[in-house]
Amino acid sequence: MDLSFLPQKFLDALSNVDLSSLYEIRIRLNEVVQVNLKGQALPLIKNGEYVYCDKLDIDYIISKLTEGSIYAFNEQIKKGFLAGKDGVRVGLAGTCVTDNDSVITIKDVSSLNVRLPHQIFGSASDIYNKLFLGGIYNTLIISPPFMGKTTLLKDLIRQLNESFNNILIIDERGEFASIKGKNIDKISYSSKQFAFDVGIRTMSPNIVIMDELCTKIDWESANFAVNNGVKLIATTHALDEFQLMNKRYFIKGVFERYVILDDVKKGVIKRYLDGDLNVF
Amino acid sequence: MYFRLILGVILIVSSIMISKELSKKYCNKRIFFNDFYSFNQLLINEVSFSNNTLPSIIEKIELKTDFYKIINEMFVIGSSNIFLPLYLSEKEKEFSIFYLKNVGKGDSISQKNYFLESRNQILEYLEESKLNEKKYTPLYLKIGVLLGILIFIIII
Repeated sequence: MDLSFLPQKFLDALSNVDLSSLYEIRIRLNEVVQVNLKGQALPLIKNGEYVYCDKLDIDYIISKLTEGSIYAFNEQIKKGFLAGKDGVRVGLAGTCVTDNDSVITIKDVSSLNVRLPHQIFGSASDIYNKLFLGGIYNTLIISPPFMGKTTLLKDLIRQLNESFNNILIIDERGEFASIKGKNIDKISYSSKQFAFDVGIRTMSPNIVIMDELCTKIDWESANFAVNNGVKLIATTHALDEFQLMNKRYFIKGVFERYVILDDVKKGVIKRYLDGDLNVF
Repeated sequence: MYFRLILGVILIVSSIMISKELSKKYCNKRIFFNDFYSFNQLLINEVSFSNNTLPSIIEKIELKTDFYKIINEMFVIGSSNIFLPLYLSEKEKEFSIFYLKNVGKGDSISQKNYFLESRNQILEYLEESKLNEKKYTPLYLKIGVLLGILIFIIII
């Protein structure tokens, strides 16, 4: 995994860390850098001392990720992230510069969240066997943040790639950069609305896969796709079906199956629901 | 007789070469600001349309002249120290450092405004360097020839 965008002192401290169990690196201005190892937050230590982050470290990381060209990555910055290589995603928090209520950019970045992608082969086998052996259901995977939705989705894509044609991935934040396959097409770094609109018209997908259905436009786009005969597999943030139903933009009828993930154990499936949100 | 003639030719040629060498700074400065202006124009287009990163823009440029060598050092190799040529005045150095340190440091709208704003100043330096080259290069050459002849006469 390419973490060369991190300052040398971070890399030195990380040299003793098992990268396969590293989920996140939390970098906050003038605070100790934290690493998330298998769900446990720990301080980053080098030679027995805590590793702190200063302004230069944050500037260095941003400069490396943007190749010294912030203007070229502004669309990503506006959405609050920068994409690294190999599907690494860096979330940004700082001061938003707005114009007529829309964010132009984020400046004075004070926190970074480096999220490292993981591949757990076979993690989606249960979903695949239960929902996709006989065909495709429009399916929504539901869990709170950081509970393994994207990892599960990646494995599901790999399995679908073996049996289904023309799978279109809408990869808004470059998280699926490492996913490739004979039946896979990808639209990266665009808005979901654009990807749905253009992707469905030009790529004629049989299955559309997207991560994190959140906004009104996302739900409307999903509805548009399903009404155009495309099968859709997506994820969203919610604790369970009750929280999902209370979401402002939730449209009932878009999905035929719901998969609820456990909110404590990462990547564990709690229950399956049908289109009427009944357990089956 | 032949010795004196050869010595005279050597003296005149040497002084012309020295004067050419001394006037080179005017030519180099003109080339520096010419490249500076072209680079700034290129960046205006990039932030308006293509949005390519600095390393990918620079790798398409032939890195033969002083200015392009400096931007390659800064934006491709990643050196944090900027060594500007001695032929630039303190004011020109200050402006160049400020400009280069702010390249790539903002969103496309603010960068475009910054490049457009800088364009006039770069153009001013370019025009000034062109005038100086036109004025001083022939002057240095004339002084070189005259000095060579003078030394030759004195020696004889």
